[in-house]
Amino acid sequence: MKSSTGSIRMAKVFGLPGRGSSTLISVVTTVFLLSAWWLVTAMNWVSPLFLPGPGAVWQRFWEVAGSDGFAGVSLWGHAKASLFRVFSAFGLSCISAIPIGLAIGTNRIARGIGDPPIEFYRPIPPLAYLPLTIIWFGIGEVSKVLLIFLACFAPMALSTRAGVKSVAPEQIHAAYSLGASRWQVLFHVIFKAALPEILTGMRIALGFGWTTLVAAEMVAAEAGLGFMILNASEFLVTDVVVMGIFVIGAIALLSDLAMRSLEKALVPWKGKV
Amino acid sequence: MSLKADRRAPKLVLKDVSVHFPGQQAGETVEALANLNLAIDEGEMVVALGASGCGKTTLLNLIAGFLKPSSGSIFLDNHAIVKPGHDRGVVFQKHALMPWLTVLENACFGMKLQGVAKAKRQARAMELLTMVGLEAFASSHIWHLSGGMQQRLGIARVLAADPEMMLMDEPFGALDAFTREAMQELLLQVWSRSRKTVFFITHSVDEALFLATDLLVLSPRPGRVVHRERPAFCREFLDGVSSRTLRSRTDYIHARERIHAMVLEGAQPS
Repeated sequence: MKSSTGSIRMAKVFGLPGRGSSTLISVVTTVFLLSAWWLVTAMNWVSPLFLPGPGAVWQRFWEVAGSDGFAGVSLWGHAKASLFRVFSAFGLSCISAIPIGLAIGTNRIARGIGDPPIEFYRPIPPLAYLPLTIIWFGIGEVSKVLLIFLACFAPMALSTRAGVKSVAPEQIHAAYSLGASRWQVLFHVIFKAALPEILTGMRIALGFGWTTLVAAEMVAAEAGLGFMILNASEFLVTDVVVMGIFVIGAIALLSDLAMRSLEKALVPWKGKV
Repeated sequence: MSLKADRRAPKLVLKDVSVHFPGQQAGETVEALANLNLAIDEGEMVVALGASGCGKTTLLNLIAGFLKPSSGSIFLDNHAIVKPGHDRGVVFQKHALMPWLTVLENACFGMKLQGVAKAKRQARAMELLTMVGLEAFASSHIWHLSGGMQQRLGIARVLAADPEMMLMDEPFGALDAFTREAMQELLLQVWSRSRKTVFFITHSVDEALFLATDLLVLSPRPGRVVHRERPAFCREFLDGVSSRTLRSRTDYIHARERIHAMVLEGAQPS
């Protein structure tokens, strides 16, 4: 084996779809989009009411982040309210959807009971049942967290259920032949084998949580990033709207990256066996 | 002393075992095994040989407890087999190791399930990893092991749980020819040291003849034992004759061709 690979050209396999690095192309695309945004606003081709320029949004970010805040609450206050809603819903979903998904995946009776309600409500947009959660649970935190919880629950339960299928029959039989009980097989084999898909489900669920946030904060919220955006749009403060979108995007991106590193740490075997 | 009587009693007994599976069409049934009677002695290397569809995997699944027979019963040391248990360890062809565990943890897995203390199970697992030549890979991930090494770990994992019998379901079928022969030699060495009763299934005549002390030739539709003999090539190997010498000897070649013809004959549609 040679230590220096600098001047050696590596052999390439023909016909593999989508091969090679795309980082440079992504950087160019991002720079192009930001420049186009800057250009159309700087040239006054679009009224700031419809699209404020990057500078105005940046400036507004610091104003709202500072002591001024928006609607009487600082940016951190809005973010804190939203983070609490999304992560408490996500946490509740983890402790309920994973065991329920395991039960549905491993048990005939649980599957018969669990499948119809989950498959029924899963494709319904959360906005459609938002009024019902308000009628049932009022306009407080409960209905907001419940709405996000419902959005997180289905993808997590279904991923867990699908993950159960990734256990090889040989692994289950091997465990029984090594003296495992049913519960040991469930925990030491089925749950572990399903873990990669459970984590994928958690990632998707967290994304859904952020997606549902604005809907959850539509009614009777006093703080929250979604509330901030909706409130700003009512007063046509478009730069706050755009700034809010960027803040939600940044937080969602960071939590997705955190989930990915969690995945790397917890399921290093993913895609290797 | 009842020792003499115990020695004479077979380790494993199958009594009038029949297995029916649902066929391709509704209402149709396939007879995988019909009224099979079989007794296996302790400490033997039993090899069941046959073409696909002869019911050899069905037979192994029955002994392992993965499959309940349609009728008949199976006894290990005079106890009826009703489900899988740690008295019958199984080495599979593949996909049976736990990728979330290291090599050492895989070898410890059976003892962990049975509640053996950590220090004790790790010491015992290391002994067995050494026996199969994997001691240097104890902390490796299993996806860094080659196919042959994974099967060696499969054997170590079973022996670490100290079963009464080791069942092997075409364990070397997915390996290349060179690795396969090396694994056969390793298995014989491990078997002669552990003194376990082994039930090994294969569709390779050469493998069966080289390994077996008790060779069963199975024939399909329905699966039944059409021939049984007791080769001694493995004992010669363990006495120091090299496997290449054995395999090129005329008595070995003749025996191999004779059994090969038997398998072909049995596999003919009647």
